[in-house]
Amino acid sequence: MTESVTSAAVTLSHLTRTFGKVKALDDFSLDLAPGELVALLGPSGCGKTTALRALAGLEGVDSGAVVVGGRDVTRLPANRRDMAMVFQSYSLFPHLTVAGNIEFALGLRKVPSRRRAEAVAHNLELVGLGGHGDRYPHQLSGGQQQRVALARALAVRPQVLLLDEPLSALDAKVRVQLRDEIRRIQTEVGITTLFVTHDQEEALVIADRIGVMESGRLVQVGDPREIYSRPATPFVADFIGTTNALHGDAKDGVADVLGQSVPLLPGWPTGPVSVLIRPESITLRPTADGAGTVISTGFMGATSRVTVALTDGTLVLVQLRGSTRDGLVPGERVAVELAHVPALARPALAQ
Amino acid sequence: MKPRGAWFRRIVLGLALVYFLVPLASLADFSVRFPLTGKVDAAAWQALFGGGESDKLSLLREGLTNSLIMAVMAVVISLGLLLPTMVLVRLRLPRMIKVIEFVCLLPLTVPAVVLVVGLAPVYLVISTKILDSNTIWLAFAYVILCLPYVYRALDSGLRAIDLKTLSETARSFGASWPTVLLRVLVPNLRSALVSSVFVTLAVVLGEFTIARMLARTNLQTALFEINLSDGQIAAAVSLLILGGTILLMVTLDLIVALQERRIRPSTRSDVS
Amino acid sequence: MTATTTTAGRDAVSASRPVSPGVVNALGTVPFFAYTAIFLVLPTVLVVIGAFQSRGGGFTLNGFTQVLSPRTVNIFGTSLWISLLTALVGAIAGGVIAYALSLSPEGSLGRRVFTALMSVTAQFGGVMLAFAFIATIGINGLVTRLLSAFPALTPDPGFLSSLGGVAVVYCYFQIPLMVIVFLPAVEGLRPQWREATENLGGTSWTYWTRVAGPILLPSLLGSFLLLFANAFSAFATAAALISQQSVIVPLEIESALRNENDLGMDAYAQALAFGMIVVVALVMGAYALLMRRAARWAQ
Repeated sequence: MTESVTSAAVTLSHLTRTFGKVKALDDFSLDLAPGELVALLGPSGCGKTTALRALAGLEGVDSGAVVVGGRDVTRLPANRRDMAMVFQSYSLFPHLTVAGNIEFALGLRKVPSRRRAEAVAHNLELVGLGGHGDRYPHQLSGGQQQRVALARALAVRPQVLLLDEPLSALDAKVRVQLRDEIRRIQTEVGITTLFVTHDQEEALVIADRIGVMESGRLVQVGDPREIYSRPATPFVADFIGTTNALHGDAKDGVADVLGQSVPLLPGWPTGPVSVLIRPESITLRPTADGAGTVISTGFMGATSRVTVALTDGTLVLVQLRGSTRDGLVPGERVAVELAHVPALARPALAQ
Repeated sequence: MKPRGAWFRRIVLGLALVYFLVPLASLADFSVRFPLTGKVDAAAWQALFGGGESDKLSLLREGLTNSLIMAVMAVVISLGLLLPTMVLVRLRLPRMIKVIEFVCLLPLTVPAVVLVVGLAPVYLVISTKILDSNTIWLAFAYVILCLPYVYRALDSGLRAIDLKTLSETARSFGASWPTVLLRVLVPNLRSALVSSVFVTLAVVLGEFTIARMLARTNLQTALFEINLSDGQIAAAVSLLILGGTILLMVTLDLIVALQERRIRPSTRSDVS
Repeated sequence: MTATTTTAGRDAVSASRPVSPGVVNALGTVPFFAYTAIFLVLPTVLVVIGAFQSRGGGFTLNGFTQVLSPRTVNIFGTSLWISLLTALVGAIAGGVIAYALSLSPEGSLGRRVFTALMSVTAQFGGVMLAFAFIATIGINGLVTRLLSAFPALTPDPGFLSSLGGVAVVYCYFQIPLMVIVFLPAVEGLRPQWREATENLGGTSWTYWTRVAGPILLPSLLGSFLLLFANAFSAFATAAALISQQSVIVPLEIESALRNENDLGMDAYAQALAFGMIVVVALVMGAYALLMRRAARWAQ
């Protein structure tokens, strides 16, 4: 049974928030369409959690507006906004059972007990923990606790779901499992969701759109594919996935890198540039007089990672398919061939 | 985060501070004010530090000396008894942990005033047949009074370090047990040991019940006696001890905090 | 605890030893058990046995008969009452202070100093404390003098040597004890719980009545019990303030011990002590149970 929730559109416009000398939010604006999952991604200190808490009402803003479902809630205290949040840790109330936690908010709204029990059962099933209603939080694993926290948030049928790095405190394997679950549930329920994380893989996998933040500012917003292949700034290119910076000479939208022509993304500078190329956009061919020398190889199952040194000393990280027949060995000379994919370029730093 | 919290906090802590410091201020005032005439002078203080010999001061000196000696004895005995035992039990006899804990916490159920009733015959034997009637042998009983606090301090200290790994590593390098204890464990248990020493000191210097009931002279009984004849000196000494203990405690606390910050820098990020 | 330096050496030694390592280890605990046997267990046993033993060595219930006399029952009642009262005041005032302290930034100088002050005042020797209060609200006390301009507010000079005075002085160390014992529980309140309550539509009232209150309750009750036991066992303060009669059990024990010569007082002191053990043991037992419950919830 799918929930049809009246999920709302969210508009955060020109939010600013300063803590002492630090500008946690700097003219931050973001829109969320109803039912969309937007991930706010960035390193620690970039302001993503502040943005989330500003939306929740747990943090005030110095200027700007928060509009949810057409209603301006900027001045509303947190307990009057129709949202629900899952925290990174210590989400659950330790003195209540799982069922008690889930129906907590419903009890506050004076929902009759039979309806409460139904909601508890339904949401527990939704997160895959049916029958665990009588357990206490300290009897559950980290992953299970976060599921209950999610169930508790969904039980109130909020307009917006807020997730503050819900997976960061969990083991790697549980993290992967749970993030797929969260995505599945979110799509099933169709609720507008803001998901904060510092893990770019997480963001790429589950989000409809990603907003990359740096120092309180939104640097780029777009769907995962766009963010990955058309980073707007070197910061985004560095933060998402791995990237190599190769010297080249740019002219007329094309850079000459290692004797090959690489098309550049719009906004390219001219002259000496650093061209940012993804490891999977490079292939290696063993050649006696190749431009690179293999330094090390690492077999990773489905892929192989090879580090190659160029004549000028630059190290290049290359990702090859694991099934490549030619097993490359350290010391071997290879030709470094770049795929004909548009790449981002930035002016080369003076050496 | 919440501005209203700040006012609440300031008012409550401010009032509490006044409440706790007023008696100390009163002691200071009392020690310089002659009760009958209201005259203000530093006679009591001069007597204390001037070095003049008098009966009252010799009693005080005797009590202080006894108490200090007993404090040192209590520290040595309690740590010497408890630390090796607790380490041994944690490493080799895990089933005994609960027993040791029970025994160490037992004194909480047997208050000093009750213990002394049972100690009277024990000390009778000690002072007549085994040792003498010197006050300092009370230290043996004082160790028991400190037992719960020392146990708790050492217990939390031992929990915080990886005892098994530390001692096994040291042993694999050929260290003998005394070496392991003194050169590996003790340095890592610094704050637990400091708080054990402090609480033992506080308990012994402040102990009155047992000394009084067994008719011995320690610091507190001496103070009690002196108060009957010269309240000002009693007030001055009390102020010294109380004020001195506070200063000592605060200083020690700050030192430990600074040391900890050097070893373990805080890994807290405020904005994310 | 053997002192050998090489693994091979250790194994070789234990191979030739007829005694198992388990016994050797157990022997290591002997000093501890021997010591506590003499200075803790033995006195306690002597008290328990002595409560039933007459001077001649025979069985007697004389001690208990004395304990059940109206006068002594009254004294027990007073002890219980003053313990209850000061534990209550200490719990409430100390709880509020602990909460205020938990709001202060952790590791700040003010907080460290205040916490250190609390640790010291909780342990203050009763005698010095009594003096401090005599210096404050006694006949020649500082506060007495300052308030002498307002006769209505001036403390009665005899107050301190009365039960009320003793109670006031008890509160002086009960409150810091509460702060020390209860502070960890208050610090254990995660900010996320408050935020989650708000987020789910609750108010401050909701938070305190449905979340923080229930979570803190075991620790609060446990700390209250600890304070109760602490006041019940206190001797020095009352001894320093009250000289005439014995109003509480510890003072009565002292006077009973002094009266060893009176045959009619056989086993009386021990019976009193026995009664105290029972009360304190019950209270501490309940305390232990409550603390175990509180620990389960603290993740």
